[in-house]
Amino acid sequence: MILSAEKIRELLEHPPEKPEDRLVISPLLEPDKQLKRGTASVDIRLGQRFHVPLRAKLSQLDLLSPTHQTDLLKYKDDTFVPLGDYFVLHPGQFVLGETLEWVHLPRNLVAFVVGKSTWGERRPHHCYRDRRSPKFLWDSDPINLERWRDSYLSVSRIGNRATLLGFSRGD
Amino acid sequence: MLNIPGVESGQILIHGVLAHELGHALYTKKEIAKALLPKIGIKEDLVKGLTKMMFENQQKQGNPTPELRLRKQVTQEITGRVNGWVKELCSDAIGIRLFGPALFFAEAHLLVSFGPLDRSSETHPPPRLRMKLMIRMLKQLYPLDKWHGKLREFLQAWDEVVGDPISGTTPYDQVALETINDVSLDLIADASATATASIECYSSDRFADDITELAPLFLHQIPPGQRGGRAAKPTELASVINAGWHVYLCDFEAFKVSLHTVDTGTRFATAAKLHELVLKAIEISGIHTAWEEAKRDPKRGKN
Repeated sequence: MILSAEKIRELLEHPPEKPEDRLVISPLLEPDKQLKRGTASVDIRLGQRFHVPLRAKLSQLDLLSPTHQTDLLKYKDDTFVPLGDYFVLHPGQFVLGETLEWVHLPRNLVAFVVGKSTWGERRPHHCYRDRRSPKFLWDSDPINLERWRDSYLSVSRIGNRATLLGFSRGD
Repeated sequence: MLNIPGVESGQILIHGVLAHELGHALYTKKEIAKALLPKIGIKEDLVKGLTKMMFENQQKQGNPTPELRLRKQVTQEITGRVNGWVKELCSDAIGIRLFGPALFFAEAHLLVSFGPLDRSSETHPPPRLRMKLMIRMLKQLYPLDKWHGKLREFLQAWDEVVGDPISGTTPYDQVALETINDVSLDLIADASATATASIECYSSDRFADDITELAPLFLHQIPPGQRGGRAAKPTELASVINAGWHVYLCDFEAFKVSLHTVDTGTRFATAAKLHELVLKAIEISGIHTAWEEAKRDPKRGKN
């Protein structure tokens, strides 16, 4: 069963006694905007850390190689962008980001990440692609976001509501 | 200026020593030295005794400094030490009032990584004296008998360590140590209360709440960056760090069991996960605070 925004809000505002049974989305900065009445999801925000793969002279990444960690550094660039600042995604660039929120799920909930229509439709220059949609979550972590730019330059503000998180209750 | 060794930089819990640096700022701003230092008088007979001993030694070597000049030099050296040491000790005392036990735990871990417990300098007292003051204050401010058994054991072990006499590195240090006795430590503790009179300090009730509410969240990989359900508020830095220390010292095995096996290979790997969670909690709290501040800014954007 997909949970309504009202139900999600109830779970967040009246957490069970045991921490393992709690649904946690932290920080939830604007509950009224992020959990809109009549919807079945919560808006989550673009986080501050980005992992940008670099073009390097590497034919493979060998996990067993003694130089694996050094090779990884040649292959990626980890970036931290302060809240309210911008991240620029260039044409043809692929980037891994994360949500601003830390999500913890109780055993009986499954979450799925879906693209936010305002990013895909109202701002066609600002393309969001969720490559595995829906992307299911079972863990306690920030959620990884994969973003890919087709042809135009894309500028994203850190802390903007970027994607949706829906919840489904299991047995 | 605070220097944390590079190898310790990822250990967020050690950053509890920031409270000591805040103590320095308050010590200066509230002009604590003016009222405190006159109360910690340097004993004339100690200065005279040391001057006499040094004069006699120099006489034996055949090149003595005039006694009057030597006494001035000795007085300057000792006064400089006492003033510097009192400043450091008072900053520790203020830090204990601001951050509670977290400062004691952080300094216990950090100071032993710098050098021997009795090593002092012109500006910094021996770590053993600093720990002694902090333990005295914790005993006064916190109901230690209600603490977790492992915390009591930790404190007990340190209490025995600080009970040993401190041997000064130089004769000047020895005089400074005799000047800053138990009475002086109590005066310093009282002065820290004056410095923090207008500030909301960390308390034993808050510590009890933090270990009840926040520490269990770490055991389920939830960073406690916000507290309260309906109108969540950012968690204070001191609360996050105290709860983190409680998990590190009392529930480390339980925390280890809760992790994925790849993070439990070594004690270091498990501790690194705890430090990550503490950092995340501080980040969440910081984001929430920054957001609230931005909301009050009329120039901010809509989203």
